[in-house]
Amino acid sequence: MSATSTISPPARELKTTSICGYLHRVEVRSIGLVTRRRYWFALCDTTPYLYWYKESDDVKCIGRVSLSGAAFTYDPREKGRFEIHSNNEVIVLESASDKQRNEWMKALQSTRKRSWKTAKSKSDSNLDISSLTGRNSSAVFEDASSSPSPVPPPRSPKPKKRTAVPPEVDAEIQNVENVVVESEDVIEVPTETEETDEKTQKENDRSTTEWYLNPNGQLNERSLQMPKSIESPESVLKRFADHSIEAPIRAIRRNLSSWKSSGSRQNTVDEPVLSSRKGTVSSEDLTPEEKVIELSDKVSSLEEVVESLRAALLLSQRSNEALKKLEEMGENKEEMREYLLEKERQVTELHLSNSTNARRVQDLEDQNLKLEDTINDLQQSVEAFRESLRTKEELILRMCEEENREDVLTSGVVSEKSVNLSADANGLVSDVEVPEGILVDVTSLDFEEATRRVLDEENVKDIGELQDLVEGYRTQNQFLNAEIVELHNIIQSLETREKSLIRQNFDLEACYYQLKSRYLMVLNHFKSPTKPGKIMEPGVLKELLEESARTPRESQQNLTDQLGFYKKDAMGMSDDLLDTATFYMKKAEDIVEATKLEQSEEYMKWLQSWDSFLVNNTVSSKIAIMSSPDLKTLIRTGVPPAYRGRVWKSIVTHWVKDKQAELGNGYYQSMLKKASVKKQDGSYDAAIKQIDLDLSRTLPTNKNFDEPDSANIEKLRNVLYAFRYHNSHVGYCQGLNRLAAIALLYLDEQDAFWFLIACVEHLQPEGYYTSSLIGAVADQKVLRDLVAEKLPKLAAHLRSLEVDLSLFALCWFLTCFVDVLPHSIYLTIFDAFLYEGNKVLFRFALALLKICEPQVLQCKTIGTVHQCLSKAQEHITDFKSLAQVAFNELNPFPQKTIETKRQLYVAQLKDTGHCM
Amino acid sequence: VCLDDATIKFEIWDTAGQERYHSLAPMYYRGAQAAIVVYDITNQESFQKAKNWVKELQRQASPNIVMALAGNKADVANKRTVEYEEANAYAEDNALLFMETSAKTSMNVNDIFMAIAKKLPIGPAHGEPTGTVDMNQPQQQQKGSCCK
Repeated sequence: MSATSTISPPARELKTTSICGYLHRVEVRSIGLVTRRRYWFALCDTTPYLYWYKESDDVKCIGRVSLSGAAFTYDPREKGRFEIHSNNEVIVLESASDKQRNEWMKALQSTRKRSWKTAKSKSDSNLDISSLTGRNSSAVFEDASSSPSPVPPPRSPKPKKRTAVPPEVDAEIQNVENVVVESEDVIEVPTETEETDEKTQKENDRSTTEWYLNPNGQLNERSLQMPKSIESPESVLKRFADHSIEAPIRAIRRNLSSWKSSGSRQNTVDEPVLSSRKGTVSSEDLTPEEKVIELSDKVSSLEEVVESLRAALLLSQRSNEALKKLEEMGENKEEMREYLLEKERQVTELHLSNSTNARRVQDLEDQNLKLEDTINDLQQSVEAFRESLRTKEELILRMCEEENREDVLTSGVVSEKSVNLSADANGLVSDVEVPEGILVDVTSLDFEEATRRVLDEENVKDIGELQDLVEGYRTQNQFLNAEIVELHNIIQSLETREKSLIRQNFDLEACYYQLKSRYLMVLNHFKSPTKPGKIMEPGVLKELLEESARTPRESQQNLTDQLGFYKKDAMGMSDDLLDTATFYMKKAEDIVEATKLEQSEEYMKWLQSWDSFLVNNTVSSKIAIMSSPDLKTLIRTGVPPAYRGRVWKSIVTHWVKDKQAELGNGYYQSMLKKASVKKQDGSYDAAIKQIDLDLSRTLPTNKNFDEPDSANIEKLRNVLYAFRYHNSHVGYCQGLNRLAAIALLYLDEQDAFWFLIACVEHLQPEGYYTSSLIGAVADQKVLRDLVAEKLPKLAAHLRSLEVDLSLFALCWFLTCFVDVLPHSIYLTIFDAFLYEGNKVLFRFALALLKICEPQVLQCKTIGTVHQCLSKAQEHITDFKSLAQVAFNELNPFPQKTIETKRQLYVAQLKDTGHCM
Repeated sequence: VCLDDATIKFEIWDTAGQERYHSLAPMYYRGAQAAIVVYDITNQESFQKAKNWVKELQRQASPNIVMALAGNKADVANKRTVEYEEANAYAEDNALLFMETSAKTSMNVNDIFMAIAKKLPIGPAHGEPTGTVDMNQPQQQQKGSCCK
């Protein structure tokens, strides 16, 4: 099981950006039901996936989406909502605010960027050419381990048939364009789409990589929850050329000037700033009717602005789609022609809508005229009304005079009369004929003003909203432009990658045929060894064998694996051809097996679940791993080698964090200092002496440890020295060197030191490595009892032959199977041991014995039993079957029993003065 | 090891040399048929410890045990502090096989196992494996040096 390293060590050290938080996922179900669920989302740029979980500290994810080829977009009208388009899947998420959304979008983009950059650098590094033979053409091997399992294969989005654009919407957009053309502005917007089409066609023929020239933007239907439209390819070109939002702004300006010149009849052309409209409007002295017209004009023009922005947005989205499209289009001319046909159809549509719009404009002008007539009418009626007012006033005047006269005559009944008179006057007033509709406007001037105010306020509010929206669209547009640029980059890098892969493939194929022909030659030779002229050159066979030994997996380092362990099969070969053949056959089988395993669904799922766990663990910046049943299950499946360093560190921190806090930051260094001071004193220290002796005996099968000056020997010395002074009770115990060495395979010096502390002081029971080894001895007795309980037949057999299990099992427990089992297995045992502690050692010891049981039972003498047990590792083929026994078949396995027994035996040993 | 017509299989235990493992040693030599006690000829202290081991084995191991004394690091004889004669005399006094060996150059390594094999009583189960315990001394530098 070779490691597929998805995270290169340097990448791990880089500062990673990560983001997490609760978001709502909006899903449209098949029946049109919209669900909105709250999940915990986590994103970490060590992996190109966005994961979501039920809760923030979950191990298992609910789902994930690949970001390595995804596009992101949002609609500014929907607060906090954004979309991720990946593999023809759209994920709609909703954050609490627009600000949060922006943060997420930024994080998403950076993660995507990183993911394709690593993919790129990976593919670059794969271009190392390892020549297969001296004479042959150089063959490029794609390193098998480089096909990064967590990274999905490149997307192959299916082209979606463009859905018909709703005609009204289309017309609306066209309207915008018409306005643009009509306002005889200086900026050119050519509408000769045919010409553009020709141009695009040419461009397309020239190169498929110039994706932005693809005239056929295909819309992913689901991606658009707003009106769809077609925009002239010309502007597509323009926008891609300068990657700016200039074009839409120009359109806005033109729109503005056009409505201004027609609506306000003032020639303030080219007032660029949107917000200035308000001021201009309110300062103008207009009749209410004109006011209304103008306001409605303004609104419609704003709508046009919005439309043009929509169009811009749409364009961006379309280009996204175009990008996707292009990715898979390749050199397919057929498809290209289809696009062009489609485009032509679009052009016709454009023409049609153009004329429709011209008609519309005509209509609008007519309407305008009519409205002006109405205004005239209205003005006339106002005149009439004023006339009537004047008559009324005269009437009142006359009546007052009469009253005065009557006052003089009869002053006694003044009040009564005046009441009557006023009633009369009222009657007179109501008798005055006024044009219908204005009758209600008794206080017409006041009313007018109030209306204007109300309208103004409404408009101001409206305009404010629209401005916000426009601002939103503008930022969105900027975002989408950036998005396009980035996607473009990705596409290009993918294309180069594809090309190089194709080239590699050809090389490999050529190489394959070459090799094949040579093997055939060899076969022919053996078939007819007597035939003259077919004698092989000497050495050909040997050369062929050497070649085949150099598989892509081992092209770099033939002798050791990724951790620096020497490979067993790198031993010298016998001269016997049959043996060699068997050897190679086995090797071939192993390689095929390993490849199959790495491509198996189970393996992928395993990596995925680890990725899912680690992402959430990283983003929540928990240094120590929390204990949870899910995590326990996960760790029992083993930690992927690529993640082991991280996971071990987290688990170790989980155990020692309190100690670390207590002892302070520079504790390890201070221990090292102490050690060096003591050494300079020259005082003899048995433990230090023993450490020095043991350094070269540690992991002799690993190239990082096998020579006195190997890379890790010095680190190992430091760790053991520091530990000796940290824990004077244990000091140094043979066996600890192996634990520390294993730690150093994945961790740095300081972490290895804490690893050792975790093992000795937290994971193993007390007294395991102390001068009396009492804990370890007691555990041997516990093991004996457990064997008697779980494997009674074996126990009886061993008893009858007087075999002492401790001869073997003691070092299983002291060193956690290091150097007992193959390293790929004991490292996985270490994963579980680090998380669960000493108990798993019992599980694995019993599992090992259980697997060996049939063989041991066949042994008739003590010698054969010894032989059988000392070769226990030969019965263990893989971790999975061992773990199956250890964690399932041996259940129930209560900690309490072990605990009780251990205490009993420790007490017993103390009493008897402890001797085996 | 092939000896005349008999094949003798050695089953070798290499114990941890550290003092704290001493108490576990009986487990290893209890049923052993032979033992090699190794010391370092450049280190007088290791010779003294070897003598202690011999005493312990004489006292506690099986009475028929075949014991050999090996003075290792013969390749650096110029640094010797334990004289050949001294060790040889001690071995003769205690009826031990004695050889100076070198794990580095494999000098006498096979020979000492051959010598032990010759001295082993041919048991009733002729040709069956026997147990040997190799007590590596703490001063020993190469791990399992004598058993390769």
